[in-house]
Amino acid sequence: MSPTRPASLLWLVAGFGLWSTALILVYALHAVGCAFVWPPAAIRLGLALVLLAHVAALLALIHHQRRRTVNLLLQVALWTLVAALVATAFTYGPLLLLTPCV
Amino acid sequence: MSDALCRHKELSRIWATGPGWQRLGAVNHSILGLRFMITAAVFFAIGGVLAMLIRAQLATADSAFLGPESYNQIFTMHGTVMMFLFAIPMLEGLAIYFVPKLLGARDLAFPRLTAFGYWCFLFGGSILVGSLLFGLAPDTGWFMYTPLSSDVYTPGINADVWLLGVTFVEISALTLAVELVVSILKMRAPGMSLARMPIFGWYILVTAMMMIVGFPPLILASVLLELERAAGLPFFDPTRGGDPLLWQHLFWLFGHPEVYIIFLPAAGALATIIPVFAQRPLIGYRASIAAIIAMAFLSFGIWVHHMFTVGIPHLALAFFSLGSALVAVPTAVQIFAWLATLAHGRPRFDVPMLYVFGFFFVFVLGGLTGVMLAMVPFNWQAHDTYFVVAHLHYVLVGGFLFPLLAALYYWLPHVTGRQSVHRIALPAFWLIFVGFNLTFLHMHWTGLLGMPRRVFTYDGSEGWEVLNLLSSVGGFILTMGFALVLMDVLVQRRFGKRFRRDPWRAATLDWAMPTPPAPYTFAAIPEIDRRADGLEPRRLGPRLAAGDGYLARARKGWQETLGVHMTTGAPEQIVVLPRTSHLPLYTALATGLVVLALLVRAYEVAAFGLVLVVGLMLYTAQGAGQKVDHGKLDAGRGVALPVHTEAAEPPPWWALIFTLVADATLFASLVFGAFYLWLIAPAWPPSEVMEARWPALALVVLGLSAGPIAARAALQRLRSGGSVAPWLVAGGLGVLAAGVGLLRLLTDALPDPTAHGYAAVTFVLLAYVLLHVAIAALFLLSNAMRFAAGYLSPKRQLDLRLTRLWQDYTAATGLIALALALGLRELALTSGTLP
Repeated sequence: MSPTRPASLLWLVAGFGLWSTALILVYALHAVGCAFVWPPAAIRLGLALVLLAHVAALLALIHHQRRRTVNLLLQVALWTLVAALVATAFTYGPLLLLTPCV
Repeated sequence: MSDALCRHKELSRIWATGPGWQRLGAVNHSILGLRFMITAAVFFAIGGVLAMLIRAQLATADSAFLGPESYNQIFTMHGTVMMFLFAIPMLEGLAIYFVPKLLGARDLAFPRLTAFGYWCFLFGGSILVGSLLFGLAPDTGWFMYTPLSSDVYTPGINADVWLLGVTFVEISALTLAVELVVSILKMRAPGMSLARMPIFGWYILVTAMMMIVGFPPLILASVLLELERAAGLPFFDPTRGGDPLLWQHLFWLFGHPEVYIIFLPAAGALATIIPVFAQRPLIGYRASIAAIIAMAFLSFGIWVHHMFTVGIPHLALAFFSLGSALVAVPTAVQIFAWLATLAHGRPRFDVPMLYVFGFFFVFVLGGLTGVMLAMVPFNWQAHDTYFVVAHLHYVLVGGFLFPLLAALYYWLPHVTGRQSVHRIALPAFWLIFVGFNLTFLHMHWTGLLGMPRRVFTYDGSEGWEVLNLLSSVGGFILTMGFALVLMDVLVQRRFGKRFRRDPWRAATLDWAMPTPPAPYTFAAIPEIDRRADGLEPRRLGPRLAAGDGYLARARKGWQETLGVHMTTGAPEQIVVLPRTSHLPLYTALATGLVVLALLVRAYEVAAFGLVLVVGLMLYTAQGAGQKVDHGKLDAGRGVALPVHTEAAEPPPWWALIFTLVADATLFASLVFGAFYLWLIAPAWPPSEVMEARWPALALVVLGLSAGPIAARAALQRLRSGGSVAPWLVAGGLGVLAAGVGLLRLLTDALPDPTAHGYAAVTFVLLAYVLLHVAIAALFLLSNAMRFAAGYLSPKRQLDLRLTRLWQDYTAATGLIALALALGLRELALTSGTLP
């Protein structure tokens, strides 16, 4: 995608967009799992998969973006991707250590 | 007569608003921005008087100054007025007035929409405040928690005033947010790529996007609660399959980002002012943009920290708590960028800098108590105490009011053409600073001693009396400070020293014009060749006045400004803006009639008002655009550009896209509500579910699918020069089929929507689709009328492209809603098997 196309602005929100989808999935999965009394290990596995998928997606985007910081907006996009990666690990990582449905 | 003076007279004749009655038809951003700010300031004064009444009541124990009923109305209205009638409109006014001037445009993208937004704000605010005079003001707290605000516990119209009045104001705010986003992205000076945009533009862009996504959940919640109160649909009634916590979720999905929506424009003002007084460019421009974006997202993901005590599982509390603490990081990035700018510059001190200092002190304290409240164990202790009241005032007053006062002193010379008389400004600042801290600093201790919010009195044995008395004294000192600021503004306007240009030696475009500004803002639109916070307004201003720029010649009496490429800022089109009109006023009056009629439950009058609103909007649309093709016209500096009606991506195209983003957010909130009730609400499963009426369902699917196909065929026919009438008729038949099918489902297939939350939420899902189908019919009607009047041609296709976009959205959400209605039917039947 050309770095000057309007759609390139989506790179600015891609990182924290993924952080948001992780939030929605973690919240929904946890709520459904607890409501249907899934085994705690199954809920934890589901949460871990959501976290891993998002970390992997963010790492892939960072890898892609590292090679194309041709203008200021794309540099800012790279910074937001890195910030979103840290935010994702910080926000959802500790959940794997907690008891799911207390 | 000099060339510059001739240009000034000619442009003034085109852009000026006439005297007397014509003032009510003003659409100019300078006039409307000021009106927004002045009206918001009046509401601030009203909110301030209400605060004084609260403090007078709480100053002593067992006070008989106010009774509980009056007190409930007063504290509810204090919060409501300050949040909805002061903070948001004030930031909108600031943005409306300064965004075009900072970005090098002559006006915003949709001047009549600005005017409509202002009148809606004024009328909605007047309904809310007027209710106080009749003792009918909302009295259940500014966040209107259910079930207290449901009709069982709050009969009468007090809660309806809030729901309808605030929704009226919110719709105004939403329209303005769309306008600001489109204006920032499409209407900058040529050469001003997004990477060169002043930081204030970034702050307003992100804020407006947050409003587009943040306000729909509250609008939906208000509609649902009003439906419950007026028609008995039990969304929040746990005895009939509803859940009161759904209200809290929807409210705080709006309410938490709202804090940042208020803070970010104020931060934008700080990031503009601090470099001017530090006498060096802002440090951390890129990091600030990244921080603003991060803050915007994080602010949406932490709404549950307002609900830590409602019984949510600990694991969910953990990630909302972590997110709440995390949001301090992007905030700190901005604060350190400003401190670094000051540290590396050569700061000079003036009145705006006093308020910048006040901001640093107050806001950082509020931020620190915010991190404390983000920690669940502490939150449980401090919840609903005066600690929270102190915290929120430190954040909102520190994060909005102090920066706003800095902005007032910085930009008032722009409005008045005169400079401040500092003799009054200095004592005013110290009264405000000392008064504020005296009111709220030890209120933290009042809270920690256990004083709950919203109690109208206390007996004095708790040890709260001295602290409350001090808070009340501080509150009155604070008020004296604001009175001095008001006096200072009046004195400056009358006696301030005149100046030639750019009194602060700023580096942004807003000072490259005579002050007060002319109605056309820029005599010529500048070419920007560097970051637009490093300009030289003192040199640039005279060049622009002499016509050295784009669109320096008046043409055909048109109000012209430039449209540019979204990211690069390359000139793309000449945007011709509408001139003064009373239609926005009439449309807002008709909208006000609908709101008032709904308030007193005169539904026939409301329906009449709605017809009036639609008729006025259609009439307004009839005069928009061009009846002939103009081809490319000279824009100056050797550049020829098409008029926006012939351009590929004109402002209305983007406006509809961002409107649909808001609409999709509302739809997503509704879907969330449906799933939430299924999963969490008690009293499920329902005793009856929707019948699967396949003929009606097939009719809806057929009608929804026909819309996009007919829209594409009509567009193709227009491009080839043929008549679009047959395809408009085909689109109309599709709309008719979908409408009939939906009505059949609503009336025949669905159980009584007042019986259970399941039926109520399915009813709203189908009604949502029906509303969009009805609006699609209006699009088609407008297309037909404008085609007949000659506004459409192979080059002027915008109307049909907008219709195609609307039909695509209606079909997509309609099919999802149908699938969800059927899916919810199956899920409802399984919900009885939940453990």
